Amino acid sequence: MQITYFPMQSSMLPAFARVPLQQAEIRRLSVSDIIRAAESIVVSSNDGAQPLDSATILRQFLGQKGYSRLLTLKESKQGWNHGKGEPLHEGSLKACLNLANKLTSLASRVKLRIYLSENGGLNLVWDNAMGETKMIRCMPNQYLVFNEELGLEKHFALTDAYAVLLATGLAPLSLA
Amino acid sequence: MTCQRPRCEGSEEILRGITSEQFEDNTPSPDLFEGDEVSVNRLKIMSREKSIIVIRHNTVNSIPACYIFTVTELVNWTQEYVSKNTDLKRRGFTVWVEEAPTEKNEELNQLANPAHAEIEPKITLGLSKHLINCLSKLSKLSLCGDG
Repeated sequence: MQITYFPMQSSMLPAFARVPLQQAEIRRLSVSDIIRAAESIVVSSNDGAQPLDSATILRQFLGQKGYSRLLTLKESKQGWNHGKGEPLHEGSLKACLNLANKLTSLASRVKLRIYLSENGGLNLVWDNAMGETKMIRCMPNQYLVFNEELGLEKHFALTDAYAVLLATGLAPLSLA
Repeated sequence: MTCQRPRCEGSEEILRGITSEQFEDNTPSPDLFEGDEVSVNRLKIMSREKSIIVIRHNTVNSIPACYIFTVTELVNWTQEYVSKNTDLKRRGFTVWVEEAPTEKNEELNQLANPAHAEIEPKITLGLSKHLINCLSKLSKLSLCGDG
């Protein structure tokens, strides 16, 4: 597959992604990290192949283990969390798919764990090389990103999937 | 919640059952304690084994693991977190545990749980993760046999 990656101008990013990440992420990225991350980001594909179906895209994004876990979580019923807890919301899956359209494989980048959140969201969780927990919560109307190092919970619109990847160190930051 | 419910004493041991939705690779979700009225069971009222059976039955769910800790530990760990968080510190945030026994409900096929209690007030995601870190450092995770 031929991949085209368009670097973003930092001025195109939301303020949250711009300021702290320039400080927090640049120092950790090696050249090979940047190349690997850039290769995993599909902005446009011109190989003429048929578009992939949602299940295939999610399986690539979450890995086989993660996809199996997702199917299990889809079976959870109302009240799964000590009488509270909503089932996995269809909109949360769409938000996850939206991320998968920006990053072909999260599972190949991190040791992914997947949990259901009480409000029917999907928590994508991993520990970075420094042992700090990173989390993206996919919800029907937004993303929540938890950064343990900075002690921050930040919300992003569904249209800001790339900023979510930046905020969790999954996408290279353009130096332009 | 504004109703007056008795508060559990600091020395009381409480159990937080972890559902399969919140547990993968022997690791609980960072949001295990996040939210309002987080359910726990009081071990001075009901044993660990019985608590797991009742929670499993009432939630119609597997409970692969649980955490056991005292109310005082919960309060102290919270204070550690609050001391580093400007907003919570300014608000004088603290936590407590209220007794919240539940009765048998035949319609919902639920067993009585006289040991049920709830952590108050609402816990943030950051505090929830801090509590899990504290519990992990002390190896407080206990597996319950559910896969």
